[in-house]
Amino acid sequence: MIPVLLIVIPLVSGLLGFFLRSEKTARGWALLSSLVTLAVTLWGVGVDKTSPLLQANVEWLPDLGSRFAVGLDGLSLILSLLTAVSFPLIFIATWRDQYKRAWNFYALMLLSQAGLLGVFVATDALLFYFFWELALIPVYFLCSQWGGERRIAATFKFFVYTFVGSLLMLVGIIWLYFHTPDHSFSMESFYKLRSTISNSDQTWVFWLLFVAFAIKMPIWPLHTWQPDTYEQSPTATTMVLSAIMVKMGVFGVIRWLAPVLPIGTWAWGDTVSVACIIGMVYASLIAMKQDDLKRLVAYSSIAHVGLMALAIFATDQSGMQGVMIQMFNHGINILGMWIVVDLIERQFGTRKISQLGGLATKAPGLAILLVIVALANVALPLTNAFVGEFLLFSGVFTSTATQYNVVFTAVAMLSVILSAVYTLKMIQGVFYGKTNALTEKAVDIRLNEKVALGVIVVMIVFIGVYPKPVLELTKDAADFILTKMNYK
Amino acid sequence: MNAILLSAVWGIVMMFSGIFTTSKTAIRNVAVVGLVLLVLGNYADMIGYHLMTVNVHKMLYFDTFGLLGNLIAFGSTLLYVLLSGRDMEKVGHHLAEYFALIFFVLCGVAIVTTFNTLLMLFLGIEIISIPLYILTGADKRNLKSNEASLKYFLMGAFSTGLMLLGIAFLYGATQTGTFFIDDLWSGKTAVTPLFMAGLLLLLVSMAFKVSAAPFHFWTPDVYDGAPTVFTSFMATIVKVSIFVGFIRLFDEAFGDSQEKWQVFVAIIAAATLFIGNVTAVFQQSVKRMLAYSSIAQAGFMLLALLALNGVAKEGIILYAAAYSIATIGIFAVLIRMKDYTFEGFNGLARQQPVLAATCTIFLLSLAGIPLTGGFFAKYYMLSSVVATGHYLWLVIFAVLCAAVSVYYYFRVIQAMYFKDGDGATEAEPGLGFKGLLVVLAVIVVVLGVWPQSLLGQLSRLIYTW
Amino acid sequence: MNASAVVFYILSAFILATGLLAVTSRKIFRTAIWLLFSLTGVAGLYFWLGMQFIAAVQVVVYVGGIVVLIIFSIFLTQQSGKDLPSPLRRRTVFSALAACIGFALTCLLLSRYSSFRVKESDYDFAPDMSISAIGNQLLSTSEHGYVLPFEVISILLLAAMIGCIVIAMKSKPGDK
Repeated sequence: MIPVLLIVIPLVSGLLGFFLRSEKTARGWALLSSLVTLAVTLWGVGVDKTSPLLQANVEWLPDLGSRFAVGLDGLSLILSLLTAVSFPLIFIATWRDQYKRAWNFYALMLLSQAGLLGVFVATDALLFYFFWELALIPVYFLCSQWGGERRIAATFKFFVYTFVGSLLMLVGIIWLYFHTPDHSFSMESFYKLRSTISNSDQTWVFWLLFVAFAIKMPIWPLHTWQPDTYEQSPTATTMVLSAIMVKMGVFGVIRWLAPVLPIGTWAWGDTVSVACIIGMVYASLIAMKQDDLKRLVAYSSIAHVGLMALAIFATDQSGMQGVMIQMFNHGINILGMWIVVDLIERQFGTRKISQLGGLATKAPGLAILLVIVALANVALPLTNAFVGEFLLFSGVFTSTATQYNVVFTAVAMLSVILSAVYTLKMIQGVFYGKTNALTEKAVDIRLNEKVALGVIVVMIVFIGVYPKPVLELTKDAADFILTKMNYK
Repeated sequence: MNAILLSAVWGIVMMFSGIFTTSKTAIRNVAVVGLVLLVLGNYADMIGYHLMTVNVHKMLYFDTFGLLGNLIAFGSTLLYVLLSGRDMEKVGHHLAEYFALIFFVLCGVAIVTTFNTLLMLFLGIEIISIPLYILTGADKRNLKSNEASLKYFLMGAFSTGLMLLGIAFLYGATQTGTFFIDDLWSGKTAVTPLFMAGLLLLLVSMAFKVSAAPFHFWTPDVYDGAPTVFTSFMATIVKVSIFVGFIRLFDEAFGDSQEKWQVFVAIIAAATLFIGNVTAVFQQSVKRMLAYSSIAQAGFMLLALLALNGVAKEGIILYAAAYSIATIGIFAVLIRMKDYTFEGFNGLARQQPVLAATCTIFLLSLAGIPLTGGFFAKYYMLSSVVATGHYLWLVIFAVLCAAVSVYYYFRVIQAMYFKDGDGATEAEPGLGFKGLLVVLAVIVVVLGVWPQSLLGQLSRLIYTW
Repeated sequence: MNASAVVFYILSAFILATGLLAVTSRKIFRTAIWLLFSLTGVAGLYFWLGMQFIAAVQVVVYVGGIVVLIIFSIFLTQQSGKDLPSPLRRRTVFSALAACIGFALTCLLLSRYSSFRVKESDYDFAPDMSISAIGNQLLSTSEHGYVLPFEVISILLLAAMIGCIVIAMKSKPGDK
């Protein structure tokens, strides 16, 4: 019931949104819809885990062995929560952004939310694939229509990248389907596959699925679409992309790859891990060199997601739980970063760090909020990311799935240090130093941005100080996945 | 049998309608009535009601697969005439004759989808081809149209020759000397070099008719040169119907020697996918791009021929429906455009939001994006090959080609939505036209969300017969 | 060697010789005429085999129809008296190659099926090959009748005829 609502509410309100003809109504409509979705999600978090409210299973394509099966467990709950929290925040934070034909913009945003929630709650592989693609289409239109100057080329690159990945995944899913004993796409049947598929088959089918997820995350060397797309998209869409969409890749591995093909996952664990840490260090180094704020945040995101992927392949209890929590934390934090970037861009018309400076004296409120968000991005203690990254590192360090755990931990640590360097450099460049002609007339943030950033900061600190509720939410799911991932 | 009778009779009715009335609307209405009758008649055949009992001596065999193929062909033609019938008037003033020829083509379609002897297959293919040569050259003042017609005729005649030679070889290979395709089944006929030579010649000539590479050279020029209304007809209804016959032939006649010819089909499919998709990328005209895209789509349909299992047969029906409807829709919009290049579509979304939105749905369907019929069509093709357990390389190759296809389909979407221009149509399209486009788009989406609506019917019929 | 064999060899030599001349002649009109003779020779071969119907079809369709059509088109397009330009080297090579492959295929098939001949005993049951029998069977509605293809062919011819009219009819002045 609840997961169905989660898909239907944004879907229907999105479709209706196309028929609104005033920017104000459309904006209010979108916010209202996203708040209702949030309320439903919180209801889902509140009810008992075994409640039938959290499951739905209806006939869809009986001949194909696919059902409209959706369900919420710890993993999908936390990601649904992230999605449901992010959208109202995005709408509030970009309240003052002007769009041509804004009703289409908001309608497409809601449709992308429907697609994302569908991905997270689907427990049927074909349905999962369906939503996986559906989440992409609105985003394609959003970026191409309302993005920056090079938007068409950049978005197209993004689309083709992800589409190639998803098609390979489709082949993989079909292949797996024909190997399920009962010819079914259901998650249960897929989880039983491990016993019927030979080890050698697992090792190559792994790649069919993994490429799709790796492109989405993205993992080096498949990341090249990301900085361009982030840079060229309208900020609200960039927020969706980086806060939620990249989590689709991580989620895909946890739900549809690692438990289905444990041997394949284990066999390629070291290879993928090496790619992850190369990507982390590489992205951090590039981020240090960036002058453009959007690109800086984009590269920092690659580094952070790399760490999550690394921890999945470590196959460790604390690591797995760390991934689930960190997905949420990273979403919140990067949302905060984007809001700040958007504020700066709107006020000064530039994103170049070199052209900014001295904002702290002119906009103290903004400066304080940004510093907190930035510190969370570096994972300082008492912030939410610290909890997540601590679990991630301890997971990687104690991992028994790989013999290089110490090396991986050490190199990954290096990237965290680098992330501190570029984050602090950014704060310094933007907020301290001398004001110039451009920043002279700066004004402090307004109410809507204060609300959005305020909520984010509260969440950052709350989870950083008292992570217990989030940990409890994800514990069962992490344990369940790990039992399925047992490669021995 | 209903369909063959009705279409032949209505062809003659159309011919005479040109004598008794000069009103173009009246002629068009007669054609629409005929098509409705055809659809109903064919449906009556499916539920077991026949206009008259004709003993065909097993020369035709009316199974569900063929009849469903008919139903899709006739239904698509009905939609096509409703959408684009008005545009046929602009080609020349033999409107009644054009409709008569279209009905004769449909007669050929009905034979090709239900043939049971090679003789009938040959006649069916010829009845389809000859009117098409004429329709291609219907725009007599246009040199390109004349050239296309002649080219199509010469190439078509050549492939017909190959087909006849193949049929003659197969006739010799059956010890009893018969054209019946059941007699080609092993046990009755040994797989000898003569048999294989005949089989390959048939494969080549049928591949030619569905414009599979490397026998596709006529396609771009003919599709480009022909009047756009008739290109739409050729690229959709005719092509998928011949595919139904193609599958029928190889399933019924050569199904048990599959491993001997499968590799040839695999090569042809891979070449078709590659050439169709890669060449389409470089086109500047949307019409020519659609010609290459139809080659590329044929490559996908060849996957069903390769697999030839239950999934493949269900899939080809779905593919036929999804592909025909989407392509007819795009062509209907294209005909109304002033400029056939990609630039001609610039800014269409602002001028004609309904046309642009429906066109987008059709293009997404051709690209195989979920929520559209094209997705399940491609899904069936891919899974039919995966189900055989071999040729996984071809499946992966096919999806990579599908990713390439996104490039040129999305170019149209980009032009319509994200580029500025006046995207002008020749005249303001009427409400009926827009309404029909929306209906087509809804069908495409329904097939994409709930393909069971068509396939449930299909599999129930296939498995209970 | 009996008289029948002598006739066969004379006919074959005639077909081959005129065929060769048709290919080698440098004047296109002569080529057409040599082709005419060659095709007539083939008709003769059919007569020799006792297949009057096919022989008649051969004469009517090929000799009477196609060659005449070819001659017409030569008159309409080419200057029939002039020598043709000598063919391109590349084209010669490929043509020769194609001919060789065709010849090889025929030889292969013949060698494999050289034992394939109608047994003497089959003559008792051999179908009646007379023209009237063929005509009867073509229009018969019985088990082995071909009335259905016959009717279908008539649709085909009707379609072709309409097509010819569409192509050939002059547009009325003032119309598009």
